[in-house]
Amino acid sequence: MRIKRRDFLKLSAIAGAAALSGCAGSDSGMNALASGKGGGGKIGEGPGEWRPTTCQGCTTWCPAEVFVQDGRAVKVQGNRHSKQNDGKVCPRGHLSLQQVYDPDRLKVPMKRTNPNKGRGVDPMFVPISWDEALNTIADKMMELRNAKEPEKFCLMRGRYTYMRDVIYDVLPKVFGSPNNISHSSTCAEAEKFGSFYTEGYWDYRDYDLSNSKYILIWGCDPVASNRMIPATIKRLGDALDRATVAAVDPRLTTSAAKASEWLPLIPGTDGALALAMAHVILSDGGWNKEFVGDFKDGVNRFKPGRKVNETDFVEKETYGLVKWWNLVVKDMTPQKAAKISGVPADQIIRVAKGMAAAAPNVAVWMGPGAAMQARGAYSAMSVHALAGILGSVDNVGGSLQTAKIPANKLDSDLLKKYQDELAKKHSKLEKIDQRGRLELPVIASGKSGGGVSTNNAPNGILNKDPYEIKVLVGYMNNFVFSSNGTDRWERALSSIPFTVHLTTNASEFTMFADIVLPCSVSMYERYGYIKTKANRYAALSLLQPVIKPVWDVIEDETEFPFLLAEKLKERGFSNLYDCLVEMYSDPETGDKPKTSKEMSVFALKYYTKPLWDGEKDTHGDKINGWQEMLSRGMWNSEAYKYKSHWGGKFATETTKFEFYSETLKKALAGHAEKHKVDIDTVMEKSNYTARGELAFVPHHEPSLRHGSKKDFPLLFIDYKSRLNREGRSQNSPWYYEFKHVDPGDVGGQDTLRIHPVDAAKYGIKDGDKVKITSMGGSGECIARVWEGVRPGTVSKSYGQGHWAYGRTATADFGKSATRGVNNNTIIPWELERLSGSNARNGGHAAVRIEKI
Amino acid sequence: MNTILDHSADEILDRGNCFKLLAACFYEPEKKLFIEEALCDKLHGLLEKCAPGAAGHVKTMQESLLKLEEQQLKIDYSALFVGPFELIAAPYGSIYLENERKVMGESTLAVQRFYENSGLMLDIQEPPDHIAIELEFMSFLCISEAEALTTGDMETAIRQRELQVDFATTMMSWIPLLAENIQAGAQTEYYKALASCLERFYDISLAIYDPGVTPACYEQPNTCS
Repeated sequence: MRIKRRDFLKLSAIAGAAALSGCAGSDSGMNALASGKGGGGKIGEGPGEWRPTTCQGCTTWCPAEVFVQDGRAVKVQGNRHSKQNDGKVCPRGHLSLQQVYDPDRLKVPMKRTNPNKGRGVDPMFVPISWDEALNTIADKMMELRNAKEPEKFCLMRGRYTYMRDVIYDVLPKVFGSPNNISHSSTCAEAEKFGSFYTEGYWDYRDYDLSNSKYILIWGCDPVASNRMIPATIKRLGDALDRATVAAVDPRLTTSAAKASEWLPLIPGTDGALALAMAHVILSDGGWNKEFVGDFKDGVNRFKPGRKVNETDFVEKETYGLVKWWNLVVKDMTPQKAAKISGVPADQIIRVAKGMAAAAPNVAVWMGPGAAMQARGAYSAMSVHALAGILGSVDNVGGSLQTAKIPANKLDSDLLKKYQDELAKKHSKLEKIDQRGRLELPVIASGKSGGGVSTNNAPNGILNKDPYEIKVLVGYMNNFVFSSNGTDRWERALSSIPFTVHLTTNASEFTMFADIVLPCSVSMYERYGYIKTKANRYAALSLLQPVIKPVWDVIEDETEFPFLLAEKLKERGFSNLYDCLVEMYSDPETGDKPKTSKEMSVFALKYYTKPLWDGEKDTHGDKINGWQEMLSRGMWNSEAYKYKSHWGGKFATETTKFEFYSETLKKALAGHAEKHKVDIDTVMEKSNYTARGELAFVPHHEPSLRHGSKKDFPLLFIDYKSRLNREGRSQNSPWYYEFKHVDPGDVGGQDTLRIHPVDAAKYGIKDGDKVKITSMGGSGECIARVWEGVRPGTVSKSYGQGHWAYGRTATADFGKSATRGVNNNTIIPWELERLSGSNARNGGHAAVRIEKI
Repeated sequence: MNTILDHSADEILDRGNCFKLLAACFYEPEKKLFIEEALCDKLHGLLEKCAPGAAGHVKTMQESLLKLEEQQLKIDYSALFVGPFELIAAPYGSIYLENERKVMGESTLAVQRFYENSGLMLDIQEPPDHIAIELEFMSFLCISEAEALTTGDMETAIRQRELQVDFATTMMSWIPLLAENIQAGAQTEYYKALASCLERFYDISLAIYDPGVTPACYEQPNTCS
C-alpha cells in the first residue's frame, strides 16, 4: 500500500479544501478516497444476489453459489442447478467466508530480505511492486534459458482448476522444462491404482448411493471428507433405512458412528480383510453370476484351501477369478484374516454374506485409508475386487465411472509450434521426482513413470539428481506441510537458490520463497472451471469472481503465465507470449487477449465452448450461449448409463474386469524390461514382498513399520476433519470453535484420541498434554481418552501444527510455535512406489505417547 | 473568523492536516519521500499547535526515520500491517470492532457508508476501514468543515463536525487497541512512537469532539492560535 500522490504529503490550505471536497473536480489532496459514487445504490438497501461459483474446500469440488450484498460475500449454498448436491454444501462452504476475508491474507507482492532460509528463519518480507516482482522472476528464468538449462526451472502445483493447462503445461513446456510436478500423489493415486488394475479406470469412482442395498465404506468417511460429501450427507440417512451400512476403519468415523457395522481393523491389514470377505462370498456361492459367470455345471467348487480347475469356470465380464482364488483367496479364511486384521471372523462372515445377499446393489466405497499405504497398491486392488465379485461395478447401487464432459482440450499442436529446439529437447529430460526409475515405477495408467511422485521430489532436489533445480515456482501448494516427512522438504526447499510462491496465504512453503505473489481465493475471486461427479451425474462447474478481490491479487493459473510471458518477451523470449495469445484468443471473435484478465476469460470460454455454443449435443444440460453459461455457472451431464463398460468395454488388457491383472502384468513387465531386470526385482526394489504370480493379483502384504514395537508401541491414524478446507482452514477461528463436530474431538485444541485401555497402560488421562513421537519427529497435543479408536492405535486429524501461517493457525510465528503438531511431521517419509503416492496410512507411522 | 465550539477554521484545518499526515504514516514507508516532504517536521509543527502532548512522539519518529535504513522500516511495517504471516497489528477496524477475525464485516460496510454519504468512493484496493483510509476521511471532514466555516456555510460546517464526532467516536474506537498491538510488536522506535502519537492525538480529538471526555493528556484546544 503505497502513497500514490506526492500531494498527499503536502498541507492542505483552506483554498485547497474545495479540491478535497471534490468541488474543484480534482482529488489531488487525497490518496485512498476520491469524489464520486461507488457501485451505485445505497449500501444496505440493495437486495443482493446469489452468484454461481465452485467450492474447492475439498476434493468434491461442489458447484456453489455465494450471496453477495453490497459487494460483500455473506452466505454460501450449493448451486441450485446441481444434480449432485441439490443446492447444498457441507460446513466447508460456509467456512470459506473466513478464508476470503482473512486479514492475514497475502496482500501485495513481497520479497525476502533475509538471504538465509530454514525453519524458524524469518524471511523478513517487504512489499515490492508487481513490476519488480515479475522482472526479477523473468530475469532468473532468462538466466536458465541463456545458459541452455531451462530444465532447471520447476513448477509445482497444489490445488488446481482445469485452467491448470496454462501454468502447468504451456508455461514449462514452452520454456523448456520437464518439471511440472503436481500434488496428485499426495491425494490418493494408490486408490486409482486399485480401480485401474482391475477395471482399467485411473480415477476416483462415483457411488450410486440412492440405489445401494449395502454400503461398505472402507478407509474413508464420505459424509465428512472424500469426493461427494453433500451428496452423501443427503443420501446416507435414507440409505440407513434401506441398506446395511458397514464401515472399515481403525477409528470410529462419522459414517461408522451411524453404520450398522464398524470393523476397526489393524492398520495395514486391508488386503487380508478384503480377501477374507472374497473368500466367504466365493465359498458361500454368493458371487454375482451375471457379472462374474459360474461353474459350467453350476456346482460351487470354491472350497476353503482347495484349488479349482480354471476350465471348470466360465467367466462373463471378468477375467482371472479362479487364478486369483487359487493364488491367494482360497487360503485367506475369515479365521486367518481375523488373526491378521483383528476383525472377528464372525463379523467378517456376516458382512460378506450381507453384501452377497444385497448384490449387485452394493457400494464398495474404497478410500485412501485402504490404499495410501507403503504397500497399499494391492490392498486397493483387493478392496475394489470385492465390487467385482459382487457384480456391482458399473451397476445399480454400486461403483460407477463417469459420464463424459465434452470440454475442449489443450491444443497440443499449437503448444509444439511454439517450442523451440531447446524447449523440445529439454522438456523431455528426466523429471526431478525421478518417476520411472527402477525403485520408483509409478506405473500410473499402465506406463512406467506415467504418474507423479510428489514426495520424491525433495530427494531429487537435495541430491541434485538428475540435476539442480535453480528456479522453483509453487502455486496453491504447501508441500512442506502437506507431505509426510516434512523435514526432508524443509532441507530441499532451503537448498533452492530462487523460489517463487503464488498463494493466498503465506505458509511454510513461503518461508523458503524469495518472492511471494498474492493470488485470488479460488471460490470468490477468479475464473476457472472444474470437472466433478456424484450421484450418476458428471458436471462442469465454473469458478467466477463473485466479488471484487479484497486486495490486488492475480489468478495464479492464467494471469501469472501471461504477465510473466510479457516480461520474457521484453527480454527476447517471446514464444510463451505468442503461444498464449494465439491459443487463448476469444473463441467467439478471434480477438487476442490484451491483458492477463482478458486471457483468463478467453481461456475459460475456449475450454467450455462446446457446452454452450449449441453446435453439438452435449448429452447434458442445454445452455444457450456464454452469458447463460456464466449465469448458471454449471453444466450437468445426463445420468451415467449403468453397465457402460460391460460387454468387454473395460479399458484393461482383456477388456474385462481383472482379478488376475494382465494389465498390471504388462505394466510391470514394461518397467522391468526398461531397467533390464525381472519383475521380482521390481517388486523387491518397490518394497513389496510379492514374488512370481502374486504380483498380478490383489493380495495381502504385511505392513511396513517405521520403528520397533518396543520403542514405538502404538500406530498413528491420520484423518481429514470435516472442517478441513484441505490444509487451509486452520487460520479460520470457526475451525477451532466447531472442531468438536469430528467424533471424539474437542474444540479449540489439537486432539489425539487414545483408547481407554492404552490410556491406562501409559498413565494418560483425558485432557492431558502429551508428547507424541515417531521416527519422523515429535510434537505436542492434547489426549482424549475415547473408545472410538482401536486399541493399539491413536488418531488425530490433519491440519493443525502450522509453524508458519497466519495469526490464528500458528501459536507464535516469531518462535515457530505451533498449535498442536503437524501429522506429516509425525508420519515418517515413505512412498507407495508402484503408484508414486505418499504413504500416510497403513501403520508405518509407529509412535509413543508420553504425558508432559 | 467564524468558529464552531470555539474552534477557528485554522485550528480545524490544522487538525485535518494532522489526520492527513498521520494517514500517510500508515502507508509503506518511503524514507526519501518522507524526508523530502518533511513529513515529521510538518506533523510536529501542527501537533505542537493542536496537541502538544502528541508532538513529542513525532520527534522520536523523526530521529528514528533518519537513523534507520528504509529496508528496516519496511520490514517492521510489513510485519505490523501487511504480513504475510502473523499480522501483528491488523490495520482494519472490523478486526477490533467485531468478534470474528474477518475483514469486510458489518462495521466495514458502516465505514463505507460514511464515505459514500460524503460523496466519496474508495480509490484503492483495500478494505475501507484501513486505518490510513479512516484517518484520511477524518482529514477530509475537517478540511471540509474549515472551508465551510470560511465561506460562512454554517450548516455544512456543523454537518461535517457532526460527522467527525460520529465517525471518530464509533468507527475509530479501535485506535487504542491498534496502538497497543503496535507498541507490543514493533521492532523500531519509529512505529512505537507513531502508535503513541496516534493514540494521544486520537484521545485529544475525542476530548474535542466530546468535551465530557477529559483524558489525562488533554490540552486546551484554545492553545491553538
